[in-house]
Amino acid sequence: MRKSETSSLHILLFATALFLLSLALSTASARNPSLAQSGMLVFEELFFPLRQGATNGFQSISRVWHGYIALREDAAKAKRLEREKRQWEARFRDLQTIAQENRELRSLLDMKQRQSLQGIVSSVIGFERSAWLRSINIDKGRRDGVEVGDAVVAHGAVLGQVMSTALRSSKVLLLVDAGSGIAARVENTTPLGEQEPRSGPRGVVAGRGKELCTLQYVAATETVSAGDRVVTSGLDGIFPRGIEIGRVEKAEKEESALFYSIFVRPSVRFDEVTDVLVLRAAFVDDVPAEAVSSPKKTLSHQASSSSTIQQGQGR
Amino acid sequence: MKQVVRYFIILFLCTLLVLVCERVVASSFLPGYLVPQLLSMLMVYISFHESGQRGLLSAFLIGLIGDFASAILLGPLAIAGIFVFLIIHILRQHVFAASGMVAAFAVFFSSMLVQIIAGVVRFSFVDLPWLFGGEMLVQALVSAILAPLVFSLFRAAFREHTERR
Repeated sequence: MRKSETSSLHILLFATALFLLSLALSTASARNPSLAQSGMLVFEELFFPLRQGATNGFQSISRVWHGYIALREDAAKAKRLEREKRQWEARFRDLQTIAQENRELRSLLDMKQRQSLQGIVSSVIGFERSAWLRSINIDKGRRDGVEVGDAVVAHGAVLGQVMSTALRSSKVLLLVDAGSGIAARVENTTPLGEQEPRSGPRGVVAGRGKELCTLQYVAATETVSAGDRVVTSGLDGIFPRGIEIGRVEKAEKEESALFYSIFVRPSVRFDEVTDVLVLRAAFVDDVPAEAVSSPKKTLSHQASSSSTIQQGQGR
Repeated sequence: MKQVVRYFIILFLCTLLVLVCERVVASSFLPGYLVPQLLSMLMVYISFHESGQRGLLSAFLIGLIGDFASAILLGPLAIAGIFVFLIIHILRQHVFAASGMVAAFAVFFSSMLVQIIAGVVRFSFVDLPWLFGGEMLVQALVSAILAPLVFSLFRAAFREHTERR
C-alpha cells in the first residue's frame, strides 16, 4: 500500500470516527437538551457585554442615521414651505393689487354716480415722462368712444385730458404737463361756524412740468391761503364743476403785483394711478352758458385738440 | 507538541472571534440572510491549508464549537465540518487555494453544504422547521463575496501555523 493511500485511509477512518462521535453527541444532546444549552450559556454569558455593546452601538448609529434622515426631510420640507411661502406672497401681492384696483374702480364708480357723469372706465397701460411731456396711455380709444379733449379723472380728482386717440388706446396729457390748463376755483378753508366752504376766486391751473402746478390769474385783492382746496370751475366746458384738482401749497403776493403767485399740489399721485375715468362731453349741458360761449385756449401739445380752457376767466 | 497546542489555542480563539463577529456583531445590525457565514469560511480555510488528521480535527472542532454556541443540538455543524474537509481535501490537489476566485467558489458551495447537512441532521434529531430557500442562497452569496477579504485575515492569524501550498 502506498503512503498516500495509507494517509487517505487514516483520514477516512478518522473522519468516520469523528462522524460517529458527532452522531453520538447529537443523540445525547437531543435526549438531554441541557447538554447543548450549556455551551450556549457559557457563550452568552461570556459575550453578553459585547452583544449589549454591539446592540447599543447599532442603536446609536441607527438613531444618528434616522436623525440625519429626519434632518434631510426637514430641510426638504423647509424648502417646500419656503417655495409655498413665496407663492403665497406673490398671491398676496396680486390680491393687494386687485384690492387697490377695486378701490380705485369703486372710487370712480362712486364719483360717476355722485356727479351723474357719462364716463368710460379705462386702465393705465403706460407712462411717458420726458422733459417736454408728461402723459399716460390708457387702454381705451376711438373704438370705445374716447375723443380728443375728453376729461380724465382718477381717485376722485383731475388727472388730465385726452390729447390723442388711437383705435384702441389714447394718450392723456397730465395735469402737471407744461401744456395743461384747467379752469379752476378756490374753495377757502371753512371758518369756524360756517357749514359750507366758501366759494373763492377763479383762475387757471397750469402745469409746469414739475411736481407743483400754478394757479394763475387770481387777483391780489382776493384771499387765498395755503391748504385751500382747488376744484374745477366747469367754465372750460371740459371738466364738470367741483372736481378736486389739488390743494394750495403756497400763495404769495407782491405789493405791486396784480395777481397772486399760487402753487397747487395735485391731489392725484400720478405714479399710483392704475384705473381712470374718461368723462364724455355729455356733462357740458350742466356747464354755465357763459363758459360755453367764452373764448378757448388750445393745448400747446395738441394744436388741434379740444382742450379748451378760458383765458382770463379767473375772476 | 508545543506548536500543536499553540495552533489549537489559536484555532479556538479564532473560532470564538468568528462566532462573535457572526452571531453577535453582524447579527445586531444585519438581517439574517445578509450575515456572512464566517464559521463556514473558517472551515474552508482550514481545509485548504491544513492537511491530514490535524485539518480534519480542526474542521470538526470548529463545527463543534459552533454547535455549542447554537444551543440546539451538538453535532450538526461538526458533521458538516467533516464533510467540508473531506470534499476540499479531495479537490485541493487540483486547485490554487490562494486564488480569491477559488476561495469565493469554495465558500459558496461549502456554505450551502454546511447549511444543508446541518439542517438535515437537526431535522433528524429535533423537530425544527427547516427550509431550503432563497435566504440560504443569499447568505452563501454574501459569504462568497466576502471570502477573499476574510481569507486574507485568516491568513494573517494562522501565518505561522498553517501549511503553505
